[in-house]
Amino acid sequence: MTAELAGRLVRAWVANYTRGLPSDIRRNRMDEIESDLWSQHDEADSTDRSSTRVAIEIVTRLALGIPADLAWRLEQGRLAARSMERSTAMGTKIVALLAIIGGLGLTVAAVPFVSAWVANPAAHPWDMHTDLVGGAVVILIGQAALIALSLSLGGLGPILASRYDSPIGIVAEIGAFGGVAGLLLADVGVLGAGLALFLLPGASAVVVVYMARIHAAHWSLAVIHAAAAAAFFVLLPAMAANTPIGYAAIFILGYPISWIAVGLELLGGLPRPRPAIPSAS
Amino acid sequence: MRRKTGELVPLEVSILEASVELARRGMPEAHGFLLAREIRDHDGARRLTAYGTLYKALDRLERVGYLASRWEDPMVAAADGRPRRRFYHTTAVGEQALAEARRAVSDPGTRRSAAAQA
Repeated sequence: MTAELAGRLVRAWVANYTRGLPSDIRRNRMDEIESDLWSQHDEADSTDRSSTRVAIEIVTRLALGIPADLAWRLEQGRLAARSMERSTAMGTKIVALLAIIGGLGLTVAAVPFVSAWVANPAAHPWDMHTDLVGGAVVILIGQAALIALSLSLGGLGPILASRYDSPIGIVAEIGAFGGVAGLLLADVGVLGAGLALFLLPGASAVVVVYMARIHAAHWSLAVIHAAAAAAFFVLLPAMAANTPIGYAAIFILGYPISWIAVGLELLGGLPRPRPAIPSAS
Repeated sequence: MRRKTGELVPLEVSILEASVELARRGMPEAHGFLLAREIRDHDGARRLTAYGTLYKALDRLERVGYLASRWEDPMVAAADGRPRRRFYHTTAVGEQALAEARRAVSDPGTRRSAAAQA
């Protein structure tokens, strides 16, 4: 390895861990490391050290500093999120309210099923008897909630696309389409249409992780939401196969509850976009 | 365990000492690499402080007010054919903190009794 290559490795690492930080903080860190690398090369030239030896020194400095870099990055992210200017447009408020209403509705619809499973972990999903009227109301609430969540995700798409110039908006639209189309087509008996419903948790997980990256949501919320969405992919097929899922059913509640939290975050507004800076590479 | 705002870890003491020593030798401001080199030479260490460790410590020392920094004029750097540098210098508060840290090291009992009184 040459010293030049080692320097490139350092630059790539700095560009990577500073991604998503305010541009001034990112630029300062990149410039400071650039200056340090230059001085290290300069010193090496004056002492006539071999390029391989300098490369080893550079890589060692890089590797030993990684834990500190990560700690610094987390700290800067927290500081940036705290000082970030947020704004709430009417569209964002509507999307937020739909997320809260949808999350609440889906929680209400899921609770009777989840509590029945917890009471009898060996029960098969479709063996659970609910009274006819009560069951119909619960299913109606659940369907209305899924529509609200799909609309919320569908509304978020254009907001993210126009505000942050992000292609993630397309993912949101696909998820929203899957939610609405899957539900409506399944209701009229189109075979396999229910599978399209999986696009909703899949897309919402991607969108909420993106929101965390732009400081529009806490990382803990993004992780919980994504884990709950992943649980859907495991638990719903198990339910469809009439497999008892027992206490694992509790995880289903994580998804709608995390949607409520997403709605509350959106009510607080979205961060104003910061100007991008060119990549170091 | 979270440490107190003004408390210094050994690397931060070394950075302040390096900065004060360089100032004493006629360099009132020093960039990161120069401080790392001064620490290495002073401690007789084999290698320079890691990038992440050094710049995280400098960032913290500046936030608590023990160091102040300024960016070099890019024109000066361009004329020298190198990237612009960030120069640090120890503030009066930083010098005081360094003196206290040295006292605590030379007389650990003072620190303990002060903690007991608090």
